[in-house]
Amino acid sequence: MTRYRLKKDNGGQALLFVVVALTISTVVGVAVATRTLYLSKRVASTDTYAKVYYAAEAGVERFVALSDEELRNISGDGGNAGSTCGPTSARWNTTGDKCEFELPETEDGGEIKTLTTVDVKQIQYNDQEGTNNKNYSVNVSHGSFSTINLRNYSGGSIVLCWRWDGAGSRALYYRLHSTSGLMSRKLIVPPDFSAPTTGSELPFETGTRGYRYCSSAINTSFNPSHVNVMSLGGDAVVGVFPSLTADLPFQGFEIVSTGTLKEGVTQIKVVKSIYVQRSYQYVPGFFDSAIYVGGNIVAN
Amino acid sequence: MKTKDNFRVSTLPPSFSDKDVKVLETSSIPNNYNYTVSGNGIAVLVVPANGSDRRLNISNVTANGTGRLMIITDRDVVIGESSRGSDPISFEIINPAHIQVSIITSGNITVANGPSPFYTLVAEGPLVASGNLTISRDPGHLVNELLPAFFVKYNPAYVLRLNNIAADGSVPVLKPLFTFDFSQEEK
Repeated sequence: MTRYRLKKDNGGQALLFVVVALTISTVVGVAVATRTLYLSKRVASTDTYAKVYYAAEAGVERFVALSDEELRNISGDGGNAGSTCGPTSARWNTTGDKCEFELPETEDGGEIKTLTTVDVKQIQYNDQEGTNNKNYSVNVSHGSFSTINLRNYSGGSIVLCWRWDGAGSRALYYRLHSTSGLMSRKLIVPPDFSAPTTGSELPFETGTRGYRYCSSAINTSFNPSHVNVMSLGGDAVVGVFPSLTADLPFQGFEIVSTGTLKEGVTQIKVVKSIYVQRSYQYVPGFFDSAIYVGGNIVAN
Repeated sequence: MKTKDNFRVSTLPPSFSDKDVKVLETSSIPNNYNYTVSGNGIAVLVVPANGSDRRLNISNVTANGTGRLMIITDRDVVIGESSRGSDPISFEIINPAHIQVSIITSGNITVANGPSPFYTLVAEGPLVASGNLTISRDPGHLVNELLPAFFVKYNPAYVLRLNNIAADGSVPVLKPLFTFDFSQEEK
């Protein structure tokens, strides 16, 4: 009996198999590693973004509740040449003419360090689209007053406009004050407003200046201090336009708080800015009521 | 008048400067209290709660001139308990109010019966309460047919003078009393 020994030449298939297997595992390994790195980077990026956002928010929180006088001084319009950051514990950066601070360890809580810069300036207008259309607009809640500053305004008249979203209609009530008393008050009622319209309605214009209705020019030739505006029938946006001969006085402040990465994940560039518009302080609307209660009026 | 510092007083002073802010450390406004605020201005009296003592009685209060006092408190205010008010014969809308202060409280306001016989009680507004306003004053049907038991006369002097203080920032301690419009945009 002849015995044959199995001797087969496979032409290096096993080696090829090993090489292919190694290649696949290497590719898979590299992909996994890359993905892990990518995820790590994304986590770091998200974490960094959140910290930078908090840094920007911290700037708003520190500055927005300051008094008008303190904010004027920081803006440089209060006689202090803008070289102070008031009671905020931030430091004045003479290069950028801004206030800046770092969040302390306890607030930041990690290796990522942020820098917050805050710029404060006074504003006269917050809506300036179109020629001669610059105005100061406020969101007015139904039945409550907002106040627009008119101190030292020399224009002789203003125009009040109002608009709203959705159906229905809105009337506008205003009270014009000097520093010594109430000068005039009027209800401006458009024709589609369904409530009783007797009383002191003013003429109105329709569809002008980007608003649904505007009043005719309101006389302010007696050194007014402010005008209170109230929307009736629902919430509205009220715009105050100066005459063509003068600008409105300052109405409040724009506070720009920017959070940036100072150290930590240096390969990630994150900047977050929060723009805040804050009016001058005024007396809350309930002072215009004889009786105002948060609960109920009960007779027993 | 005993004064502990610039703000705290243990008895009510008869006069205030314009834009004065005082903290009263006792728990009562005496009946028939008469005061003056110089310069036809406005003064603020803060009456904090004192432990469990959360009641503040206010009856007849008279102002000399047009200067006015504003009472800010976190107590439950009872008004008119010592005030007879105006009977239907002497009541006229142009008469001065029996309570010539503005009251702002985080608690409740109760309008109480006065010593018998009692009639319509007139207070100056704004009258502001976070809680309820309860009108418990009942002068009886003969009066009720003619006049309300409680009448509030709005005095615009308060809001006008406070607006001036808000605008010039002359009384920093009153800053929490004021409000501002606020809008925010992220970029």
